[in-house]
Amino acid sequence: MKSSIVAGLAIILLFQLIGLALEQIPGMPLPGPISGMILFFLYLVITGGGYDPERDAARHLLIHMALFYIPAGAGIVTLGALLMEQALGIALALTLGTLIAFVTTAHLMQWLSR
Amino acid sequence: MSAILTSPHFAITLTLLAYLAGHGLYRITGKPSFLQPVVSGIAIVGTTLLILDLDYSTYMEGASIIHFMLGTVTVALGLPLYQNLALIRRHLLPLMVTLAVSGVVAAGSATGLLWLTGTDHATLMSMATKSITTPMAISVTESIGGYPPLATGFVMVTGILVAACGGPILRITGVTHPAAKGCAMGMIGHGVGTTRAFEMGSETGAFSALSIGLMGLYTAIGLGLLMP
Repeated sequence: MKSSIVAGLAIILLFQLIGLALEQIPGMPLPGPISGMILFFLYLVITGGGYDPERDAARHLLIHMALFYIPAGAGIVTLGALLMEQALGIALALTLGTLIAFVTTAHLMQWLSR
Repeated sequence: MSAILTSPHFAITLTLLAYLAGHGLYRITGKPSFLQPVVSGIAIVGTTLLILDLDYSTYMEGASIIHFMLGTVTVALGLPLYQNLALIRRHLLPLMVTLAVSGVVAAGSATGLLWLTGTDHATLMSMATKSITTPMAISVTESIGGYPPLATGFVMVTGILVAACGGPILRITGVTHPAAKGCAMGMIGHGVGTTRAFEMGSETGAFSALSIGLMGLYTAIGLGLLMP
């Protein structure tokens, strides 16, 4: 592994760590990783795009983003009973809810972009 | 044997292989949106756990290093947001107004419909993040008292619905503006919808891509303030 990848990962982890520290503040409305994302974004703005190591590390992580939510997603095996019990409500929320939000968003943006 | 199956080695290897298999399946079948690598990856891990009669909590403990990296990926999402900054600034007002309404309608319509049919608090909180990208949805749902696995499932189904039905719905309801099409695909269908949006055109894709981060941040902040 190139050392620059390690440096880039260290920088991103540092922002994750700062996010975690911020999460400890009472009344903090944001989860640590989201605060970390905002800080990383601000860092990129301030430095005019950051440097290759952290950009490469971020790109590599994002390409394989889906890998990282398999462990959490697999927990669905423990929730079969809940899904059965609330099947109607969940189906309604996902289909009708998505349709309403989708049409509203598209038409509002089209109207505003005239 | 059971010492091996309950070890982190097994959990981590299984996760990586399931992801690779999901990726391979997605590619050889011509990338249909319902076969997202993560959907088949989760199905492979879930089925393996059921067949081998393994405890999910033991697996999760073993795979915790991969789950930990989810937070790192969330931080990395700052990069695409930065790369889209110029486009966001050029369309700041329409984007912000649409985002403000869209976030409330997306979370509100889904949780409202679910609430009407009777549900519990944790399921409701898992539904609230259905239109934001999975890593952010998991962080947010964890912090407001939902179930991350359920949130992941809801996010995936929402994205797949938008990718599959978005195009026809835009056509039928007369939406032709690339910015409008992109915002709808990305704000409601996150990354999965965005893949489809890029197939509609590069401008539509660009608006969809910038919508992912905006919607994620807005929903995270909104829910964080509403549900302390």
